[in-house]
Amino acid sequence: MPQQKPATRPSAGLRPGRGGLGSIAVITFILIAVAQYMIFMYVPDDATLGLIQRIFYFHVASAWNALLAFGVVFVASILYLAKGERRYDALAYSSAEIGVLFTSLVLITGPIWGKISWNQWWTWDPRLTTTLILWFIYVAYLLIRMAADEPEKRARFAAVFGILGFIDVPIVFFSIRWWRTIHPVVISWQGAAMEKSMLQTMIVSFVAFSFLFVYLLINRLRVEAMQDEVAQLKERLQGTR
Amino acid sequence: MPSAAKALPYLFAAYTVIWVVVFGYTLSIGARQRKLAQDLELIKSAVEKRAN
Repeated sequence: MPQQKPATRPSAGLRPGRGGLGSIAVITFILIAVAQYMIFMYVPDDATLGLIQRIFYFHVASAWNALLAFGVVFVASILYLAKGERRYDALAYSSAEIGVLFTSLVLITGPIWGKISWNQWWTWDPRLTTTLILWFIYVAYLLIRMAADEPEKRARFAAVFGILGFIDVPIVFFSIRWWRTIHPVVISWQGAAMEKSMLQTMIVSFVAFSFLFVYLLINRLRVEAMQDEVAQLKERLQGTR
Repeated sequence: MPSAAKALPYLFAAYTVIWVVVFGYTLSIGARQRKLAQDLELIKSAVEKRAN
């Protein structure tokens, strides 16, 4: 087993400069503005669902971000257990927080869509249920991190939880293919079942949200790096007493 | 098809929630960074004072 690095080690290599972050912020803003224009001005109403279908673009993009975030947690957790470097623990923690944020958005916007489309806020459909379980898993991950006192033990335990929790991600994705469901199947192995302008709008929304994820992740990592720096300086201060 | 008049408030609510949550989270990260930057300045000056 690799030797554990001190948990208060600054998250070196994960703290980008302000210039790069500014560029990502500008690109994200422009892409989101374009996506919003396409959603409200460019794309036509859905023939079956009408106006309410326009929720779908950011709902699906939020789901994409959640899966992306939990994928990062999974990879970073494996790297932490393999290398024992604090930066991977910081990456997993930051990404999990953002993943919970976007899963929450999926769980809020989905029922708003469902109230109009299905005439009910919630149903124990496989896709909805597995997504709710996913949210609980990663909320538990965040709570575990807050509860454990010893930093290295906390990081190792969280890494194991981050790897095991990822098991639910493919289950969420394939739930609408494995079980009978009333949730729409938009993207299948045969491609995307939608009109061309809708597909274009969805792709722009996906790209915009991917940039939003990167922007939030870099900012969140900066918080971790600063916390490490504060902890290290406090240790130095106590050492000189 | 559900009527546009019935769907519009729900559509508005969905996008409002998305932007309030995303902006709220972005602002909370910014607030955490500002607080940590202040802490860093304080601790750095304390470390320098002790070193001198």
